[in-house]
Amino acid sequence: MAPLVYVAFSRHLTKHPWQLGLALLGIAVGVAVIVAIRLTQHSAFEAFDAATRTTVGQASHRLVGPNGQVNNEIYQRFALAFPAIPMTPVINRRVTLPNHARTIELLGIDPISRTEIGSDGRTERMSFDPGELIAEPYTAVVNQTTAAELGVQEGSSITVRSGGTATSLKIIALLPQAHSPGGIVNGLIVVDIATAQEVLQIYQDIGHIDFRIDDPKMANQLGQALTTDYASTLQLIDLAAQSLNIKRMTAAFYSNLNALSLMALLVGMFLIYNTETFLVLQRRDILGRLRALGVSRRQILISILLESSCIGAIGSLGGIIFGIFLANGLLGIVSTTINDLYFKTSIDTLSIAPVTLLVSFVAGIGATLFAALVPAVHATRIEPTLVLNRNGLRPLSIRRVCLITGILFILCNLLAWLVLEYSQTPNAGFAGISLVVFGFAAICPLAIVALSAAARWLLGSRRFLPERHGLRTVSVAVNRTGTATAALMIATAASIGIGIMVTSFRASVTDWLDSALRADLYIADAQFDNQSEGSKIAPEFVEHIESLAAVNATSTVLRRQVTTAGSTVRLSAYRLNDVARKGFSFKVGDADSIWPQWQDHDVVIVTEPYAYHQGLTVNDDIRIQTEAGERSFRIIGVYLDYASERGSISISRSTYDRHWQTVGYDGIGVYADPAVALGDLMQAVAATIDEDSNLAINTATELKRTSLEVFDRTFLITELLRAIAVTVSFIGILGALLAQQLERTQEYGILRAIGFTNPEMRRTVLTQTSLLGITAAVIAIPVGILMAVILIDVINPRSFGWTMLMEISPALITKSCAIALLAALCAGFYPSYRAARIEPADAMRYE
Amino acid sequence: MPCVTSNMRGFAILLIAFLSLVGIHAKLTSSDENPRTVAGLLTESDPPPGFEYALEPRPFEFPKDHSAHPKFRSEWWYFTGNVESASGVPFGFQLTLFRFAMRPQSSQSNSPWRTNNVYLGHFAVSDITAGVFHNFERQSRAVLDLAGARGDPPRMWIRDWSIELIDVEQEVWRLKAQEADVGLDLALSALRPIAMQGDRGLSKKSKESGNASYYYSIPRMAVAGSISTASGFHTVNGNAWFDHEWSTSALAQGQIGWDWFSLQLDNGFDLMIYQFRTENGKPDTASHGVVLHPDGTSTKLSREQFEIKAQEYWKSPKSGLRYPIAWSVHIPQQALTLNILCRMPNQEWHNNFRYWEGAVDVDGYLGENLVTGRGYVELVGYE
Repeated sequence: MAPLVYVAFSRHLTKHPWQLGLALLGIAVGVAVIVAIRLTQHSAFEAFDAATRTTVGQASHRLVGPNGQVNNEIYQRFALAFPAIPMTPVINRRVTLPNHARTIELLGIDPISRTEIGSDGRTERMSFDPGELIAEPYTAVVNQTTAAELGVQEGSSITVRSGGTATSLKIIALLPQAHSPGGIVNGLIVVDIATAQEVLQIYQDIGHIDFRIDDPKMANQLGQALTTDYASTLQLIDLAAQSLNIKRMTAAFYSNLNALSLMALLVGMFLIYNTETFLVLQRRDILGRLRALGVSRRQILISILLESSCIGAIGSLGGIIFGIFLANGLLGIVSTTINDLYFKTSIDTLSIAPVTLLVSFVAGIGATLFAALVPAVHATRIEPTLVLNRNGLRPLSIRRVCLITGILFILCNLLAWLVLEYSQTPNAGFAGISLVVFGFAAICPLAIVALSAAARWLLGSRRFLPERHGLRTVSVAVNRTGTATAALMIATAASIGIGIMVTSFRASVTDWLDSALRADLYIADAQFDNQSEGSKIAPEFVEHIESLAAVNATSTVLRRQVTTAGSTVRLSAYRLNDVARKGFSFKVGDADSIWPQWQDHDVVIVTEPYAYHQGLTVNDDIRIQTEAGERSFRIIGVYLDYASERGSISISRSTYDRHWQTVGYDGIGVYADPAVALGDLMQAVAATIDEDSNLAINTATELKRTSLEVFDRTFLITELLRAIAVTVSFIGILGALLAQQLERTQEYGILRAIGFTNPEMRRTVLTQTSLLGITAAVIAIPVGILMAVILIDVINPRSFGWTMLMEISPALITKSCAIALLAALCAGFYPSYRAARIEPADAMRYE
Repeated sequence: MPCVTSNMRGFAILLIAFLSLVGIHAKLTSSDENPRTVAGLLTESDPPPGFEYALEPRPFEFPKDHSAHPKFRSEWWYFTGNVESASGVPFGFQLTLFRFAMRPQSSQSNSPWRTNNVYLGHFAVSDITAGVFHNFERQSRAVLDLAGARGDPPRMWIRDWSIELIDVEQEVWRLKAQEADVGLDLALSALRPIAMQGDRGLSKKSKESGNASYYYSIPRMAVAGSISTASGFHTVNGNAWFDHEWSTSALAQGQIGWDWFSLQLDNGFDLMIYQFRTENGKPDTASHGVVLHPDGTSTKLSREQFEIKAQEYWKSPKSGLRYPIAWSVHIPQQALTLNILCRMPNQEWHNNFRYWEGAVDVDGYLGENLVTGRGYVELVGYE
């Protein structure tokens, strides 16, 4: 008997292709967004790992010195004291390419000892003659992409400059890309360790020492030797832990996106539920006949679930294909953001993770089956009868619907509150959001009934009979219309919530930039980036700037990485004037008590994310590796800073100079004489800068613009995904509403028969869909705002340690609600046109 | 016929190990017309100009010549031996240091890392009772005293692995190596005078001039010292064999590998034979041997004068390669028939370069007399 069921079902589906399409679309979009986000994340990690392989190899630990340098002699001593531990020297610095007006990373390695690190069959293979690299001075290798970028071939030369000395390096081989065996990452010149010393003119030092320590006991021994012999000036860093940390950082960024993709799947499930419900509804006569022909309930259930699995499978497959395309498109944006915020890696290849695809596929089918379960069970309850019963699916009474949904609403929100109150993780925050959304989705039917009643009361006059009729029918059929409305509400709320979060975030960053950028001009190494130590600006240059007539004052900053508690963090040493000090706004600590201690005591101020991540606050001490060993510094303030989510530590330059010996600065802030125009100041300062130096002058406005550009780039992907999810949700919901309206053909026939005119018919239908749209919008506003509150007050601090002020933009809310209404109205047009054209006799033939 | 070559082993190991460990290997394996054969590897790497070549027999001057010869491209010091503790616990050991010059000279530089020489070390202890083969590899550039060779007295080292002539008069060497919980500290005294290989120490590898090495051996050295493993510390005694060879060019064509035997018999005879295996399965003409008599005289053997037959095979569970582990050797001219059996099968190196180098037991007949002995066998190029 079963084949009969399949024939009946499949014939129905092919006769209603748009319904099938809607279901497929719903599931495909959900799966596609999940696949896209997962794959971009996977690709970013792959790129990160490839970069790590190039720079770190198989090393497990790294020994770093207080100045980012380790003396040759220290290498020698360690190599002889621990002869059985594989170790290798590394120099990793940025150098300038004067002919290309850019910088590039110079990686100096010892191919011989590096091979020791990578033994046990995990040896990296180098596809060139290392003998040439080692024994011929000034030889280098790059990968093919970098060679193409720089316009060099095998055998040609490239000029690099460091510390004022230019060196020509001969490219002896072009290596493959990082993801191929023996490949290296883009934007990297690999040279022998001796060549690196010669290029950088640091003959006494290497950058750091990489070890491969398989035995934790060895790591302990090494650590002990460090503390006893080197007064803790050297630090052993666990590279695995560090790389895990960096990946964890990006996890916060991705948790936002993953939440978004789950939201997309949720909307997809609503669509599936809706579609399946209608498929069952529309086929109730077939189902009834099948039951009469002897098809069992079980067979019906299996057939419907099988049908949904097929839809789920096809939809998921489509979603995976679309997701791969989407991921490819998103890769560029993700790459930029990751580079802006986390680590310097070019993510240029989408790496397809089969597991991700499989999981997404299974999730797609699972979601479809789950959504189809209730309609499928309903279908089995259809009595075997040849009498065509229009009310085949007995609706629940409105009272019961209201009761159930009301309880759900209270339960979900209570649970959400509990989850948010008693958890610490960002993911719990997302769970909270989901619960709130679900709770509010549950009261959609209730809201429809209530709004319908209110509207009927408002439209009391006889003139509004068509509207009143429409409102009443909507409210009666609430168990059908409720789902689509809930889906529309979720999409709208997500749009509002994420929108408010991004707007608030941006506003806070803008305020912070306005407050922090106090100087008129900023001078810094144009090539300076967070991950390396650039060449320093000489003190004489600062004195020279100060001597200019147009200049009132300067402030300076020196940036470096320091080690504290086994991990590295950015330390900024500031010399600040009174104006510059006003640029710091303290979250904890009082400016009046902070600044008097600033210069002469061993005190630091830390950024809000740093304090959050490390669980530190004012009056806590942090121990930092200085040149003289580990020293304790008291935290006297926690300040607002959105520059880095890892956070950083700031110290006064005079305190810095008591513990480190560094000459020069990384940046200068120039404060103009109030009487001087900015343009004149710019000219005066520009005249002091050498043409071939890397120094760049920026105005505060320019810096602010660049910073906000980075911000916007970061949220571009969020916005883009939101747009994709929301748009497709709207289309899906539009389809769902359309389907509901088309279901009513017979009802419209009766209306026509009792004398409704064509325009009145249209009014009835449009009133119905408008009510759904309005309900969705009305509920979406509080849900969206709640979502924003959770994002801003729970998830952001938990993920990044940033606090921000919430800014609700009425325009954003209006726009989102307008789109919801528009979708609902659009869904009414075609059915209202059809309703108006219906022949009463045809429609009532079965009545 | 001038005694062509004797020992190719260090050469090829050195070259293959270096070239493969740092990558030419990848190039070779990926290219179809040049599969990874010994010949392929040796012909692949033409030395850069500027090195000296072994062209003529030369006067050797000891102890100076025990140290490094940096004008030649490659060089190795090769110690293998069989020892036993007082309580009879047997061990085999190998300590080898290779030097490889990538260029004839090092360029002038202020960087202490600048060098043209790299060193590779292989250290193995065969714990015969336990059946465990401990083997370790090290490599280092010759900078910052991390590796190198010194002349007076000769000392070669990679970090704390070292080979040093501690008594010039008595020709006593000290070997030290330690890795994880395996170590050795041995004193080796020469029981025979230094034996020049080939033509007065010039060992030709082919008919072309320059394809030769300078090569000498100390075929029998008395060993005393200690070996430690995870199972404990053992005071040991036994015999060892020492080879020292340096050259710039070594060509071997049509050869796929070789079997090399150094045997010390209890009756005072020492024996070194080797055969190159060719693709057609026949021993190559370069296969040769030498019998060192107790009275200090020696007899050179050409390929026709000895026969080596593999009797038993062992398949390495790690590499899947199949090595012979038992042989019968017949030298009619000397009335010598020997059965050679590995003391344990698992003595395979499977780092960057795969080969089998292991301790063996020997028994057989010299004429009518029963002889026994010990030795080392090296098997290269089994694929």
